[in-house]
Amino acid sequence: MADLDTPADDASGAAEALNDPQFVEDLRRRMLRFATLQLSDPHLAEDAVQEAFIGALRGSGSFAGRAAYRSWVFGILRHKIADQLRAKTRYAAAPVENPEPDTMPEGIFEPDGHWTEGAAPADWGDPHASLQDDQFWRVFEACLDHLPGQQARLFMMREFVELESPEICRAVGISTSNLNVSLHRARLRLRGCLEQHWFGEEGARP
Amino acid sequence: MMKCREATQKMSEELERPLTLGEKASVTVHVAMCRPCRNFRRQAAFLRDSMRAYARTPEDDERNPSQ
Repeated sequence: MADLDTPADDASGAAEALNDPQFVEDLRRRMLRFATLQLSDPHLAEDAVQEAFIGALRGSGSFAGRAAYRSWVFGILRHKIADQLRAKTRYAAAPVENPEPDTMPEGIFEPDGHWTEGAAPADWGDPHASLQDDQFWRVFEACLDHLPGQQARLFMMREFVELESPEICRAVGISTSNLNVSLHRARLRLRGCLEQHWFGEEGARP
Repeated sequence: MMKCREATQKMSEELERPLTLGEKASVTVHVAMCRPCRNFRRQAAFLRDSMRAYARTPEDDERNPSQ
């Protein structure tokens, strides 16, 4: 089929990226971790990751560099995960996950509900400028990795896979209020981590 | 008067569902007087933007990469 023929110059970005085993291995490991967390099934996750790499080769994308290639492959994986999770919600009996203890992160609020002195969010100025910075994304990934598993899973389902709240509740078997509590905690933790390691006075932001 | 813990919960939920008029009023009054919570609100929206930018090229919306 004509649309599967990839013009040589379009393939060059992917070929260049795939020629670096270290880059591919790092990317594959990160994708696998994400897919396994989302699908709760290592075999389905492995399949989805491989299909994403294959899909990227057949696609019509041209990649200006590795960051764009990584973005592209991860984007394909994201679509595959969304499809699988939505398919899962069609079965009535969604498995109820073992709810791990999901506690309010310590030290953020005083018992009376006000911010503690060290945890009150500072002004980040123009944070969107950091989206162009590779170093920012390394900090961002590290902060995601530090979220408790279930919080990370739900936060990424919502904000990365972009499922709607009711879809997540059906796929995971939790109530809307539980989901909202977890998302609140994930956002508190993630913003705290980004402030500590990037946006704050002690952070790495240039 | 709504406290920061509850205000941030509502600001998190406003990314999930439209707040009721009462909730919205409480949040508006709270953030008018609380700079850290104003910052939290912007940052929660930024987290959404950045998570979505994580694997999205400018062309992504025009193409269907799963094809």
